[in-house]
Amino acid sequence: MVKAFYDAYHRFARFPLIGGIGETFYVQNIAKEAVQRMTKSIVSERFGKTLAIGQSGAGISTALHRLAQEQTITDTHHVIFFSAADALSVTDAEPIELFIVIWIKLICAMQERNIEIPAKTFDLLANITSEGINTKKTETELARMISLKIKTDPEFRHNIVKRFMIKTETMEEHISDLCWILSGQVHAGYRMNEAVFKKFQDEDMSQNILSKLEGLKDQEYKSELTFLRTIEGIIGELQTLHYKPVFLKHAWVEEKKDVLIVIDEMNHLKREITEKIFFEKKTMFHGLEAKMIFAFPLSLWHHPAFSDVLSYFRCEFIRPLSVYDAVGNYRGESLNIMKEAILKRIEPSLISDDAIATLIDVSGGLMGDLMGFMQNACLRAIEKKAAIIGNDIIAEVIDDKIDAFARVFDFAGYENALRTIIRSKKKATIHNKDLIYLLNYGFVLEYGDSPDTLWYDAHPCLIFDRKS
Amino acid sequence: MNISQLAEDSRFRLLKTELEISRDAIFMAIYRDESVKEAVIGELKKAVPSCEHLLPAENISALIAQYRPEHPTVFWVSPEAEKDVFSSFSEVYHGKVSVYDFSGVSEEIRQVRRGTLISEGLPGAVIEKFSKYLEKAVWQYEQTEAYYIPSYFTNRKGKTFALDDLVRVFLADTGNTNLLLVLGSSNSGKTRFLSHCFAALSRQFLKDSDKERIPVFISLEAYSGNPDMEKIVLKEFQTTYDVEISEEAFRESCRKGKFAFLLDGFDQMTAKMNVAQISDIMKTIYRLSFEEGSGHPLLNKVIMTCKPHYIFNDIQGEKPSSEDYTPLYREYAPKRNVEAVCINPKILDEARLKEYVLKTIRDGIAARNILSLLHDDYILKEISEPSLFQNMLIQTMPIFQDKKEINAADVYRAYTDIWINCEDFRCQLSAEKRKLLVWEAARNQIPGESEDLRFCPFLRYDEKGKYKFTHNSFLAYFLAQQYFERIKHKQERLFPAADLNNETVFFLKLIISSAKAELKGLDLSELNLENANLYKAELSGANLNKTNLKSAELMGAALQDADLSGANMTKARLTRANFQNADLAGTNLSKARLRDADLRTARLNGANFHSADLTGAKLTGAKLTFTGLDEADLTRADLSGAVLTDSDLTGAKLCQANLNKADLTGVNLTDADLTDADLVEAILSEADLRKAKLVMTNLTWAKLNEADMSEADMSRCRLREADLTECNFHQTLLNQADLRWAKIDRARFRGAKLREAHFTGASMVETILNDADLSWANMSSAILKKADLTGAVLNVAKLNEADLSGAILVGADLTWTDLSKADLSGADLSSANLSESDLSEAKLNGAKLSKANLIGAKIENTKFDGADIAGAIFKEKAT
Repeated sequence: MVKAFYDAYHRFARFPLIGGIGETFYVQNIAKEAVQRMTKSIVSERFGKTLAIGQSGAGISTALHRLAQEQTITDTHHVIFFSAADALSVTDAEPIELFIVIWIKLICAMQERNIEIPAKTFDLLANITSEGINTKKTETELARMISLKIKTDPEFRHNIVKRFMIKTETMEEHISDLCWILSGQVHAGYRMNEAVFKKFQDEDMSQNILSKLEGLKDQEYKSELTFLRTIEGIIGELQTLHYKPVFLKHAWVEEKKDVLIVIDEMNHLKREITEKIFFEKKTMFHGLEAKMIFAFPLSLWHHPAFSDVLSYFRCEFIRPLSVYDAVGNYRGESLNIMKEAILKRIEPSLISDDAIATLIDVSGGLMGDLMGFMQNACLRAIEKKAAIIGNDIIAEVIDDKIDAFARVFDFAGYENALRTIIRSKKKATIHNKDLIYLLNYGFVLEYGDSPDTLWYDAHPCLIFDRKS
Repeated sequence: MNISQLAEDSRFRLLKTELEISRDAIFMAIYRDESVKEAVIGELKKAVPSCEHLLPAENISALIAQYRPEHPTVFWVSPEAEKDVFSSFSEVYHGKVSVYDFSGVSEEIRQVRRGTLISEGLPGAVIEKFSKYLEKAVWQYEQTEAYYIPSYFTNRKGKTFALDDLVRVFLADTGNTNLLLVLGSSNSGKTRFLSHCFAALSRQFLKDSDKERIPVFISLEAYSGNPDMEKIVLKEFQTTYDVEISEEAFRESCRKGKFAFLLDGFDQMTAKMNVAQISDIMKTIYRLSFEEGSGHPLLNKVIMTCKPHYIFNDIQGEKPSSEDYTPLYREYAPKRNVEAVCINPKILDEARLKEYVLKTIRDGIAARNILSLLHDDYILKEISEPSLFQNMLIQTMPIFQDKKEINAADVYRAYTDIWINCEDFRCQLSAEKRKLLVWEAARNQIPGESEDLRFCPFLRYDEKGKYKFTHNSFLAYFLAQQYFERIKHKQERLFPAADLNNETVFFLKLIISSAKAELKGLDLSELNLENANLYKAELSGANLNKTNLKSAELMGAALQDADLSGANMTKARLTRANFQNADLAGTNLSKARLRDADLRTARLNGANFHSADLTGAKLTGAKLTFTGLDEADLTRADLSGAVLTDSDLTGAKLCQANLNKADLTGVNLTDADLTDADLVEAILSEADLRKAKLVMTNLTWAKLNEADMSEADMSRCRLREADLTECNFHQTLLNQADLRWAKIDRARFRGAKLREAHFTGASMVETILNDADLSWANMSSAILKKADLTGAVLNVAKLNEADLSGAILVGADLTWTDLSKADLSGADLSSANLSESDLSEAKLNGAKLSKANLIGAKIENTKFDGADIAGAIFKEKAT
């Protein structure tokens, strides 16, 4: 039993749903529409800059990761995905450092794709690292060195900032050059996608073989030999030999790809840094010849200065699931999604239905909080050697969150504003600065699908009655 | 914290478990106590050696935000540092750090916040409705509510505090006291205090509807039949606040302490209930402030007003035993969360008292009356006591809101009625029986033992075991009250009015004054109603025989058919009083003010109106024979047809009075002022009008034969066709008087001034006009047969066609006189001055003109047959 809770504890840890884990635990409906909209806009717009706006725990990271894995996107884009919080110093990064990080990531992406780095890029790399042009280190090594120093070496950062502060255009030029090179590369290789399968059918390929090849769908092979060997391993030598001309004719795909830079966890940086990047240097990204998506904190969207930024970015919102609507009616669809997310990570026999319902209720529709609650519940179940997560454990879990809120919430400054929100469910009833504070720290959650239907409520743990 | 304690600590066990199962997580342990930190670290190091413990001193938030652990790491930080991490890197705090609180901060906040961190409250729409109503209520309170006097209470140690302060503490107290019982006797200001609280709480709520409780004021009197407080509140929400909320929502809000209930008049609600029912309803009230069953005090507050005896024993003269305590006291007083205080009687200084009266009684006249009562030395010193009376008045003042006239008896009645009309569980007797009981006490008869007397505030139980009035004024008041009640019910009086003492008379007077609308036909004879206020009193048909109404205020009083014979109404104010058919025979009305009074058909003979003000009084047809009206002011009075024979009107003012057809035979009008009075057809035969002022008086057709008007001023007086036979006009001023066709035979005008007087056609046979000034008088066609005009001045007078036969005009001044066609036959004009006179066609047959001056006289066709013109001068002698 402890083992089951132990596994569940780790499954409920906060991590983006990528790769195999993503496939296992991802619930299709989470941020589905937002991902679809972002995909559509990315595909249709040239060098569009998008902000994925949301509150902590609403699922921005998951949505961005899903987006980066969307086939429509990967088929047509070189996706460069990185976390701003991992790449930059979260406490005192400058906008130019983000530029350098993007540049470094592009260099790394080119190297991964075996694309030659231009000489001037190498020169700049060597120059930045103070290694000199005659260095024996490779571009990769130099890029890694810069990455590490940008994250950890304040002096290095200071020098870079000093050097590039007034030369943003230079950096912009370098990035755009790399993007141009990267996107100019014709992407070619063997890949069996849906269209290819259709062509195979047209060529009278047997259904048996088609079903066997289903497992290789969308996998890409640069080398003909590897491609054919992989097929041979599945359908056998004879059949491979028989269909070889068909495979080679239809599975070869050639296409040009744009660069899509996805920067996650911008909201993990210190708020002042994010404000500086987007409000003071709002035009910085405009000239970059790449499509970009940023994770962006909702509280900054409510900032008065955001109106100046609006024209430079397209906004996409990822809001918490509305477990209940503004008048308090429960929404079955959201409840099912959240329940599914829980039961994908834990055996249904290990948690009571009541406990699930209560946790969903107090999560306020924030998937991040729900995962946190569940992880805490699993931990308590392990500690208590409990057979099932019941209401007793859940009560302690909720109390933990309530206590945390109690310790950090500024009652003197914001209690009134919060009460007003609870009562009115509208933001217009309180001062904007109060709203920014409350949204920024997750004390108030923003719900709704469109600007007309937005409503607000306090995090349930602020109003949850311990007795009930 | 020792090891065994640690092992029991759930936080420690949980952290230990998480450290054991996590791979590379970051933990934040909050601590304040170094020993706790040391103990926990020590134990964790033993249990999880791979775990790292860091105690950063500075840049804690940046360090935690950037930290990439390779194995589980616990950062030991202060509560302040935790806040710093949260505010700087909330994403990290929420998503990447597990927090364990060893500081005790969480428990502290739990204690303060209890149930929820932020109470959810009622829906916005409901709050809006409450706000809307409360806004209106505050406005109304400010517009209409009377002046608020701070109430005080005295605690068990004898210290006095303001009730407002207690309420402030009570409302701020979040756990100890939730039910405050404000006790006070009737009119002690409970409702006003509660209204004041309600307005104050409403203002606070409107200022901050999130934080403050919703004040709910309920007057319990309206719900006397309802035993369930919850239902009452919901009904009140529905009817008053227009708020519909379910029972569940209400209970939920109650549980969260959203309300401050202000319940007024528990005693009124339960007046007709028995003790068991009262106890039941009290339970439901108690539940409004507490969670049923759990015993946990919550945040709702209830302030309820009630009379003290519901809680405290108020039996007099006995040391209360435990059995004497009320069931409510026994049940609720020991409870920690119930507080009961008694409002102290209000004692105010003069300035505050005045302010209180002016604010409480909005009507200016009423307020002035009350203030005059409070400054009435007689009441305060002779009848009552300043503190007693002031206290009674403050207690009863709200009753007098709409009453314009308030007197001391009203105050006593209102105060004593509180006990008499009291209806609650203690009462055994009816109000009527209780009243009879105190009446008996007033008559010095020891009343029968009654439980009800034990809580009577104006009776005390003396050391001899007898009930006595706490102050003698109560005795006088009750005596007067029952004396009047007997009069009212036409029963035999307790004793003759003369035996009433001053205090009783004082109250009786006031009681009658208060009941002035109901005095019709009552026997008030011989009572002393001096100075009584009987303004507009209904006294028609009343017996006021020999009643002392001296200086009484009877303005506009209805006294028709009343018997006022022998009454003393000296200086009484009787303006516009109605005396129709009243009997005022022998009534003393000297100096009384009877302006515009209606005395028509009243019996006034023998009445004394000396110096009375009868301006505009209606005396049509009044019988005033032998009435003393000397010096009376009858200006504009209507005395038409009145019979004033032989009455005394010496010095009376009758200007513009209507004496049309009045009978004034033999009346004494010496020095009276009859200017512009109407005496048409009046009978003034033998009247004494000496020195009277009759300027412009209308005496047309009046009968003035034998009247004496010597020295009177009758200028411009209208005496047309009047009968002035044998009147005496000695030295009377009759300039410009109208005496046309008047009958003036044998009248005497010696020395009278008759300049420009009009005598056309007047009959003046044998009239004596010697030395009278008749210059410019018009006497054409007048009959002056045998009139004596010796020495009279008749220059420029018109005597044309006058009959002056046999008249004596010796030495008369007839210069420029028109004597044309006059009959002067046989007249004696010797020594008369007829120069420039017109004697054309005059008859001077047999006239004596010896030494008469006829120079310039017009003597065309004049007949001088037989005239004696010896010595007469017709022409001026040539010089």
